[in-house]
Amino acid sequence: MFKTVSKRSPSKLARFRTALFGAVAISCVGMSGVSAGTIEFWTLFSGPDGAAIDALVKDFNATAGKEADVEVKLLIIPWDDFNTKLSVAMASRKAPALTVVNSDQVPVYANQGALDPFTAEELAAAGIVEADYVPKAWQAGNFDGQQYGVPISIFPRSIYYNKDLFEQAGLDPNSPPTTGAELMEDAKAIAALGDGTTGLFFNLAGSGTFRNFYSIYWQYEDSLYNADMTNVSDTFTATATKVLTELKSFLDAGVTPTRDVGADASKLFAQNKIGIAVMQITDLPVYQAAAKDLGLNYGIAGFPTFGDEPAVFAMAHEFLIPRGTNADARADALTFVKWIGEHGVEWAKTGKVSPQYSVIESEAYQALPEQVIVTESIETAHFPAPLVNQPAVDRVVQQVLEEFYAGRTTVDEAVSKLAAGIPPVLTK
Amino acid sequence: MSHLRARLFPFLLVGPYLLVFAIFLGYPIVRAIYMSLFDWGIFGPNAFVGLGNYTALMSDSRFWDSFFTTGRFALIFVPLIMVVSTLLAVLLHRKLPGIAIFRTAFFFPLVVNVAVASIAFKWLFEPQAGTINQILRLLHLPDQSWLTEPGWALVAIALITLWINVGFMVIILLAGLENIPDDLYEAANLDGSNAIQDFFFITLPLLKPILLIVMILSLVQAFQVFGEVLIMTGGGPFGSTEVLTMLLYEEGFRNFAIGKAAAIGVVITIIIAALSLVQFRVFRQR
Repeated sequence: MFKTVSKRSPSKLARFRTALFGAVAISCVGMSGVSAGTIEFWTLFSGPDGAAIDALVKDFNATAGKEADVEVKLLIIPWDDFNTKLSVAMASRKAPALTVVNSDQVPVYANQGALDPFTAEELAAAGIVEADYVPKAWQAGNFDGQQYGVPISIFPRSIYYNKDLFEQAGLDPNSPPTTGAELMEDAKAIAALGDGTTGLFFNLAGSGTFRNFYSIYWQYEDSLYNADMTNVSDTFTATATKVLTELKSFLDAGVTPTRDVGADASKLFAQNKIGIAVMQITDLPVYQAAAKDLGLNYGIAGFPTFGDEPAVFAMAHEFLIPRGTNADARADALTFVKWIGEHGVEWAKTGKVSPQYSVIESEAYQALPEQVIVTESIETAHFPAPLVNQPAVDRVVQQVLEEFYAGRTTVDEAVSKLAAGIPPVLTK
Repeated sequence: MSHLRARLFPFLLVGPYLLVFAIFLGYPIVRAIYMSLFDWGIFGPNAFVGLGNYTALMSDSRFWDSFFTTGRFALIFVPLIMVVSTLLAVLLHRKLPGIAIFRTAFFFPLVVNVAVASIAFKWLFEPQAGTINQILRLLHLPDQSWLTEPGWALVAIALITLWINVGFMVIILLAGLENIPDDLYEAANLDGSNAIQDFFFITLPLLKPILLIVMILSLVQAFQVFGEVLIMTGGGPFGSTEVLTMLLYEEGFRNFAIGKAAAIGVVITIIIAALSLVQFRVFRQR
């Protein structure tokens, strides 16, 4: 019995070896996730825009990618875990060939040497032209004179208003508030409707706190910092006091919840319980769905002007190429970046302002009324200072504002805490 | 030769543990100490800074805030788990039918993932629809902002950490209770003692060595609490639950100051070691 088997075994063994080798080879390719012309792409888009970027990637792989022999493998990571996972992947030399981050993270990663800058030649070879991009968004991808990012979208603060509640309150549903005073008047009129209706929502917790604060601050003064970015500006205390006094007046007037309803704000707005909500354009898909499913009648408008000049906080999503990506993969990644730019209208539909003039000026984009309204505000948009420590400053500001909104500090105390808390973080 | 074998035999027995300890604990500790002496970024060391990370921590108000927050958490958590686990252990020690079911039930949370438990408790503590506030309403008690009020947030985190870990402490205490001879209780009963006197004059004194272990373990847990904080409050509100491990995470994974994060880890290790040593000494003297 054994002999028979052993006589036949060489050919079987050979076949087995071949099969084993093949299986190992296939599994090795599978484990690395990378084959020739395949690039990994990690994004933080996990909401409705996650489905959109997934559809775009599939479209690219089936069309332009196929022609160029490039396949994009998408990995969506929830945004609150994104930077942790990306940094760990970078540290273990397993970073993707392409990723997207919020623009305030560009200086952080670039300063760590975690990114390789784009060269003018490779951008030109891919057909990516700086002149096609909104300068502020392009600059947000720049650190220390090197271009690390190519913007895919811009998301400024804006307001959503409930047209039905406006009508019920005797307000013109086609005239959203454009100033702080109008915002207060309209919010008071809507709050007077009673029945649990809130005039205004703005964030009392989370990142929305500092984004709103900066928006109003920049309407009075261009920068929070002094010229050499080592301290707050000389007039910081006076300006911050004005801003916090303005914001507190809404709480004191009883037109906005004094308790944080941040997580439920979208639902309350969709249920006609909030008249005006200060949010950003990325929330648009939620209200579009509510309009379709619940009959929500809403409008969108630019961030109201409280100060001397209009200004609004904005950030961009930037494509980045982590350090160590080889030349072929870089070229493949830029092929995809260019293609996404050409499909900017599809991407803008997920609640984004396009950073590209060629997209903004297209007929298809101009047929998106909400995006067009918010796009007008990019002229007055301010991006966070391109500082390594800016996210850390944001965390300080957020904490002080959360404490202030909870009624635990006065305006003066909160401003003092900001003035004392920002410089050490800024110069860390 | 046989004498040599006899001397080596204990080392042979502890050898596997020492090997595992060296790989998974010893090396990481030494590595953390090494990293803490550098300005260490995503891609490794940038510059040797000596004790620079430690001196920076000493002058960092955020570090001291986190230190005292961790201390406050330990002050809530350690007595709470000691009292609750002792009471539960005494109750579960009774020889009643079906008691094994209760023992299993109290041990069960230990096998639940911290992330899962934290998410579940986050819902329970939710101010509007959360079960805990619903119960308070039924009892005509006022709602509480469990996770958004600085005072309550740390208590809420202590409660979930208690829920997860109490079963383990109960098992340890049950083992201790098994070793207390029944004769002592019988003799005391003959002298007319009641259950409360039995507990305070027999059970507690004889459980002291086990209680020391429970105290040290719970103190270590208090200084290592992380998942619950990250998921339930993220260190908020207003930084009131930013314990040392949260600060370590922030410095390491958000600011990429990995050398400084390693220094925080070393400080936590030293604090735990020092507190454990003091407790051992105090109990030994008694």
